[in-house]
Amino acid sequence: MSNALILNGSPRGKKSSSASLSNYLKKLFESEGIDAEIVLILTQLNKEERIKEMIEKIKSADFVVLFAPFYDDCQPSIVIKTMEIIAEEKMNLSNKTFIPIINCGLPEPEQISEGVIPIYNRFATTVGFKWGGSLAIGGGEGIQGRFGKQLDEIGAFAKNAIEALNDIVHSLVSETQYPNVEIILVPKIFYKWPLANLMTSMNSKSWKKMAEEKGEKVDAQPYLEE
Amino acid sequence: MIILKAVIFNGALANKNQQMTFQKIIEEELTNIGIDTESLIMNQIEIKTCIGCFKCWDTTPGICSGVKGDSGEEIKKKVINCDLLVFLTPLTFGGYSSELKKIIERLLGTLQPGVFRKNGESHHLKRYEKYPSILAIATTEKRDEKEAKLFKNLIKRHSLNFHPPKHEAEVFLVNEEENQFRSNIKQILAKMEMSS
Ligand SMILES: Cc1cc2nc3c(=O)[nH]c(=O)nc-3n(C[C@H](O)[C@H](O)[C@H](O)COP(=O)(O)O)c2cc1C
Repeated sequence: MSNALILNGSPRGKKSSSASLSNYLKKLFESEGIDAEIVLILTQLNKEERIKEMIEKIKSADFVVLFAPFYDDCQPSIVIKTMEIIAEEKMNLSNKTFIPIINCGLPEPEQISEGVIPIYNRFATTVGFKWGGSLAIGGGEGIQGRFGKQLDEIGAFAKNAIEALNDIVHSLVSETQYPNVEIILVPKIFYKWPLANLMTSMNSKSWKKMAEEKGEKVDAQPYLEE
Repeated sequence: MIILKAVIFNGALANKNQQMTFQKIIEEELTNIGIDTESLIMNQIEIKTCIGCFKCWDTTPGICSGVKGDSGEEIKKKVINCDLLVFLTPLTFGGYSSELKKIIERLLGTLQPGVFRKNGESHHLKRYEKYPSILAIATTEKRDEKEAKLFKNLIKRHSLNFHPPKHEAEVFLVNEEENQFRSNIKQILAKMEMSS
């Protein structure tokens, strides 16, 4: 029987969009009779023995699916650290399929594809993983994972993500290649003129309001020297 | 005369090549053109990773109040008040090392949460009028054109988001001949028209 290791690389840990996606994928794997375990990179990097434990889990997995947010056009530091550790181990990974599933705050999944997917691909081919395709998710905050929301609690917004996760599991089970896919949670029409301008200004206003509720100005300029 | 300031982020990994020869040469070349330079070796400074709480956007705008007890904020202050930021990193699958990345992600608060759209892409609004230019130097043991291209692309993408007036990226072999490295750095700085 195959087994899957789901690495959650979000610095937010258990309350993150990556976590909600991980939980959903775990259920999908299990419904196909595939053992799946979720490992939080954040806590795993804390101790030397936990790092070893993570390495052992990678060694015994058939599929390694990495969920991570898109940070500054690339991976969060804790994910880079994990990649450095895996490379250092020089394991035989040739029979393991690696799939990164990356979500970003801005609405364009293309930013993920242009920024970090090629870096993940370079990593996979360098350390010897089999590249299993990738998924780039735009507007990932729509999942509200940081407030503990699960995919099946957000209604229609989850539709594209659920479909894509299903496709990924089916590709792995049927041993067909999953491509590099881009999805967006909010319907694309919202990001085309004229709605795009409205969305942009609504977004800015809501941040402004959140800061004001705390008695702060969203455009404050602390730390400036004369 | 205004004296320009530069900050070097050395992202070498602990127990690996510390890139000190390159760091020294960059320091010397910056000093030569009248730029006040400070180097920070990330693996020797306590910097915690970003926890993604967005408090630097919605609670204490511009200030990180989610992570405490490290040098992140002090370094952010240096960044906002300098003219040139130098990334010096081991090339890591075409990207930054984890040591360099942990400070870059702590700079999120230098931007505002609101966005603007340009060429069909969203990017965050500036918090400050002025941001430092970026010179990104990656070092690698084996020349690999694919990875070098990824690195240059990453700096280009980073620059769309962090508003540096100028940005340059170059990849060097770890055993690059010192004089060669020096003359390349000189050329790049001249091209960037950096000098006090
Ligand atoms: C330090 C930092 C940097 C970020 N950089 C980007 C970015 O470059 N582009 C983007 O679209 N979103 C960026 N984001 C937003 C995250 O990708 C977004 O919040 C994501 O949904 C978080 O996923 P998670 O809950 O799984 O961690 C950044 C967030 C943080 C905290």
